[in-house]
Amino acid sequence: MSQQPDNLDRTELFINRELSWLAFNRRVLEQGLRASLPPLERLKFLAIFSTNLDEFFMIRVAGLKQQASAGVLSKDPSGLSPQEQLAAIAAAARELVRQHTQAVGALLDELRPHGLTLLKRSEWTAEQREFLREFFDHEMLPILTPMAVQQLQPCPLLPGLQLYVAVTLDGQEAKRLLVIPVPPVFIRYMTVPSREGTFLAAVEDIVADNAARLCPAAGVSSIDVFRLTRDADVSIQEDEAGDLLDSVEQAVQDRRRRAVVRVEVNAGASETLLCWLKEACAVDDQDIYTIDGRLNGGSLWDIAGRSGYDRLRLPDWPPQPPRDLAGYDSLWDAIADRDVLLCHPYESFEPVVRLLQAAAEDPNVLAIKQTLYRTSGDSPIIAALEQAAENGKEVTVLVELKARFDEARNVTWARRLEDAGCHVIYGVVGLKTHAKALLIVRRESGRIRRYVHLATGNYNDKTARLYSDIGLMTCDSQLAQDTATFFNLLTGFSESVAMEKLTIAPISLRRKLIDLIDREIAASSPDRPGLIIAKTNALEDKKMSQAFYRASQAGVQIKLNVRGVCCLRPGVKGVSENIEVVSILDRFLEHARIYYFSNGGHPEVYLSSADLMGRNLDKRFETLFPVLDGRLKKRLADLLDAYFEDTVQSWRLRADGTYEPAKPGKKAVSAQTALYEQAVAAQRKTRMTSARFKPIKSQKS
Amino acid sequence: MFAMAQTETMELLQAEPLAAIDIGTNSIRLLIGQLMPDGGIEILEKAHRTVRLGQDSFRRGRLEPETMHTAVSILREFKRMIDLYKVRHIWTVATSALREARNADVFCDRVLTATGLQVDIIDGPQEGRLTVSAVRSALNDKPPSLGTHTLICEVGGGGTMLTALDHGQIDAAQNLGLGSIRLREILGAGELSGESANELIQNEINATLAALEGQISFKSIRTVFIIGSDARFAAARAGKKLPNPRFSTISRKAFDKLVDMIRPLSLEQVMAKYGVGYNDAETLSAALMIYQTLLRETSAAKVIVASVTMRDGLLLELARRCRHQDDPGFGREVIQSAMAIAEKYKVNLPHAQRVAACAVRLFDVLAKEHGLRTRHRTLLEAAAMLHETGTFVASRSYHKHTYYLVANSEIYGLNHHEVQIVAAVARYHRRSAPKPTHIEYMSLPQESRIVVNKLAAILRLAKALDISDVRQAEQLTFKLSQDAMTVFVPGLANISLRKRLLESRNDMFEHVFGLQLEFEGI
Repeated sequence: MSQQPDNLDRTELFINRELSWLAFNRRVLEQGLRASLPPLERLKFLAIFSTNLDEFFMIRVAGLKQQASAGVLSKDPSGLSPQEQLAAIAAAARELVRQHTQAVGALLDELRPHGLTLLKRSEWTAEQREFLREFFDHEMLPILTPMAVQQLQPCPLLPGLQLYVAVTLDGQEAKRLLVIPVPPVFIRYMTVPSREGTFLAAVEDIVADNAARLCPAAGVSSIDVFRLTRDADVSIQEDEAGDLLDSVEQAVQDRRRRAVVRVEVNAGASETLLCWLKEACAVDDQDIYTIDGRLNGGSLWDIAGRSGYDRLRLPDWPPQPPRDLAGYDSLWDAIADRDVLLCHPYESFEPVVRLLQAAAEDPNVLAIKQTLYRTSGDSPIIAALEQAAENGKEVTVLVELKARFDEARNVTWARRLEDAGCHVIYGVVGLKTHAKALLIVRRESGRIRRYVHLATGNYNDKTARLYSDIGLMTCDSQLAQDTATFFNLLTGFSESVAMEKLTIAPISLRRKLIDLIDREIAASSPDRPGLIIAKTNALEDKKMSQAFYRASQAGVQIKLNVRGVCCLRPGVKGVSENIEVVSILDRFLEHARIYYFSNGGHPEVYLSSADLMGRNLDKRFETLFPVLDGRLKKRLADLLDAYFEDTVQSWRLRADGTYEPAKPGKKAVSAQTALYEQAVAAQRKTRMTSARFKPIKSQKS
Repeated sequence: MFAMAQTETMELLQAEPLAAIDIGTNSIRLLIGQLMPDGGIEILEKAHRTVRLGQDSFRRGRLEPETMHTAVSILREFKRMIDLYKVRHIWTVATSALREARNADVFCDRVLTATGLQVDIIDGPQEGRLTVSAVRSALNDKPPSLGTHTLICEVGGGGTMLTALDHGQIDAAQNLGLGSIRLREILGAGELSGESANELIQNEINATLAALEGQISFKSIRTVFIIGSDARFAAARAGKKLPNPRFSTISRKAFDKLVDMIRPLSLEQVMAKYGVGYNDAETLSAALMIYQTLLRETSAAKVIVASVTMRDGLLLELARRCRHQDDPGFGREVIQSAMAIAEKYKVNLPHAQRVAACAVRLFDVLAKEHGLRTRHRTLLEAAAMLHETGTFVASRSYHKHTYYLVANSEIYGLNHHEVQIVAAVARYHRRSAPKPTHIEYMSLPQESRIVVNKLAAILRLAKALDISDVRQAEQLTFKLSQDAMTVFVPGLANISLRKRLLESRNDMFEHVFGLQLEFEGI
């Protein structure tokens, strides 16, 4: 017992966050290579890989570059300086991009026999070329702005994430460069006339094919395509790279704003172009990615989403009616009777929308309060809230405008809500509201009853079909009181007030989780080891990792289901031998946050909007709430188990930081398939039970 | 003050929303709940906002316009929330910050005009009683028990409320001028800090407690309850939870350890180390030092932290009013306190008790006639206990001495206004009936003047009956008719009684109740 506690600050105990993220994106890429998946599903994953990587460069790499530029020498928990991280990222990313390019090429070839062909320029028929030439002359040319960039001082700011066609011209002394921005208004892949099947031409090819005509006097020596990635907006960075920027002076941040962090260019691009890019974009070789294929993999979504090719996709899994609502006509009755758990997308999100719609129309409803983060303007939720306000209810909506890349879209519907008479509150300065909470105050049979919906996922009916999330509907009076208090806090109506069941970040969520882990440690004995199961999207926070290490050292069994970044290193002798980490990537995006503690035989299960990341625990409004109904706790415990039994779509984190795919044992089990089948079975059972009590009219005597 | 209607408990068919607002030293707090038909209270909303009323009134004796403005706008928002729940029973109270502000009336008027909220400035003992009532309700006769010799103590921004209980009954109450904000005010705005500041605070605490000598016997205290956000902080850091979720205990040792840890820290360090906000950090050290010093004075081995607030007491009281019920412990506490005062002024206690017994008997018999509530019965009983207090000063016109002695006493459980009623009733037990020339009487609101008349009339009759034994009160019988009341008095001759009545000009009874008095011996 006199053994010195291990130094849990050792750098080898932590995996670098960025490299762990790249490992996650590698798993996304592997999905794109999984032969058992239909081709368009694979194409979707390949598209996701690209958009993921774009964001990563805009935010994380940009943040690191700011650090490097400011001369920050501090190291991350794994012991890497910003420079070292950038080098490691460049090496890993380059390899991933190479594999991705290859995979895209192979998959596009595979799609051809299915009647979906992305044509190379060289494959265009004369007829097609003529069609595209017409299109270029009439539709594109009027809005193209070719620039002789070398002659322009200062160099014009070329926006990030769009494509540029660069024409290198033979000059008398030096070669000249003409850059043609490809306006993003054009669809990336144009359908061209053909007899059968779909034939597509890429927009940059159309520009390239006609570029020579823009400068008839000169000889064209090379036509290339490039794309820039820039440091993202400040507001986005605050949240997503706050950890990196805390140490960077404002002056450096201002200087680096919108700086180029990555240049992608096709293989074999002209030297003239490369030299100019380096100089004009102030990047070095490490930042230049040569792509032996098409740029901007993200636009593969256009092809993956083409209608009419369902045979190349997985069969649709329509969401099932939630089992907890079976037999109820009125949501009010159902929730008042007992807590309702909604497991999306296996179970439908529609009851949440229906609850709001019912609240909007119900004369007994006095008030509605809701947080909104990443929702769409045409969402039925917004419509219901508008309706409620118009019907004279007190409607308070906390809108988070800092949901990344969605700001412009958010502003329009937020205005609409204001016009309808809702109190719209735009969050708290410096703290993004990531919590998902809905409170409905209803006067019924002479008393006030509050209906609460707390969830791990956003109020977005579209993503609720793609993200796996959990929602809880309850009338629990204490939870309702705490939720009301939480809204009072968010709206500035009150300062922080003690809560009993709900835990809020950044106030006490971190401490609560640490306390729960410590309690598990205290309750754990060799005869009866403790058990913690956590499901989260990311485990990046060092203190949380250390708490898990301490628990592992105390003999607590720890099962972590972490979809993305995981900086905790499992399987280290004397530190994390009792920790296993599993990541699931499947058709739905794993998004729920569930925390289970065995608590000496009295299990407690919590749901949360927060991942185990510094930003979630310290810089955002997040909720952690208990599931109290024993029936629902059991259901969640079973759900958590399913992820560790998955032998098809799961990856296991090894001590060296790499992930190994699960080996299918006797039986191939996919957690998501199992969960969907359960939802269908439950629904079928309900139908049969209700059928059993039908009147016996049909029986003939 | 309270509705004059039925004396019985009213059954509720529907839940009734209630709201309490507490305008404190450092913040304004709102609590909205609903009284359920089963008598339980479900909390609907809690809110609090910082506004430093205490800083103004403790420093300058008045509220500054800006502070008032902030407070009014907070109250306006709170009122909006109250209106959302369509609350009819609202109680807005203010404590020491307003008690000590010269311009409190201006403030109350501005609040009334802006929000319609009537601010009730309550005194220390009433605060204490509300808190004790909240503790009792949270205990709900389950462990931890209140104990035999108990101290309930809350360090607020403006003062420290101490309530001593003997076998669950309030024995003594003290409001010390030791408040966490007030103590910081002593230090001036950041001029003193660190250990020298702590020493100054400690000296102030010691001096205040020394002045208490003899009023509360600390050594006999075995159980200490502490209340308030600082106490809850201590419980979260150093306490053990009890099965009743609203209570935790902290051993003396753990408490000392915690105080030792916090004492040397600067405000910023407290905030960083314990993750508390500025407002909480500001009061923490001083409050914990007060608790620690108090704890050391007693024989308790631990403190019990109760997660209740005076606002819970406000809601309970509102709930009782709403159901026309009285606080179960209320009557006894008031009478005990009145008796202590009577003893202090060397009143002939057995006589006072006989008169009191007789008076309440009459009160009960005349329920239909006077239409008053149980609470008024307590006021009458207290007045009867105290009616001869003035003899301490002089026997000539002693009823007038009675008036000012009682009016300036603190009767535990009664608010200032109620004490004025008791004083007036006690005064009018003899000689002149109330007159428009009596300034103190005329300064009471009309409804209270009616109460005084009714109660004084009863007291006069009780005094005149002058039964020989407390038990005799039960033996009195009455016959009420349309316009007369016959009193059957055991073993007394009609004539002597009539005489005494006339002596004490007891025509007041006949005048007030419109009943001709008849007496018959049995």
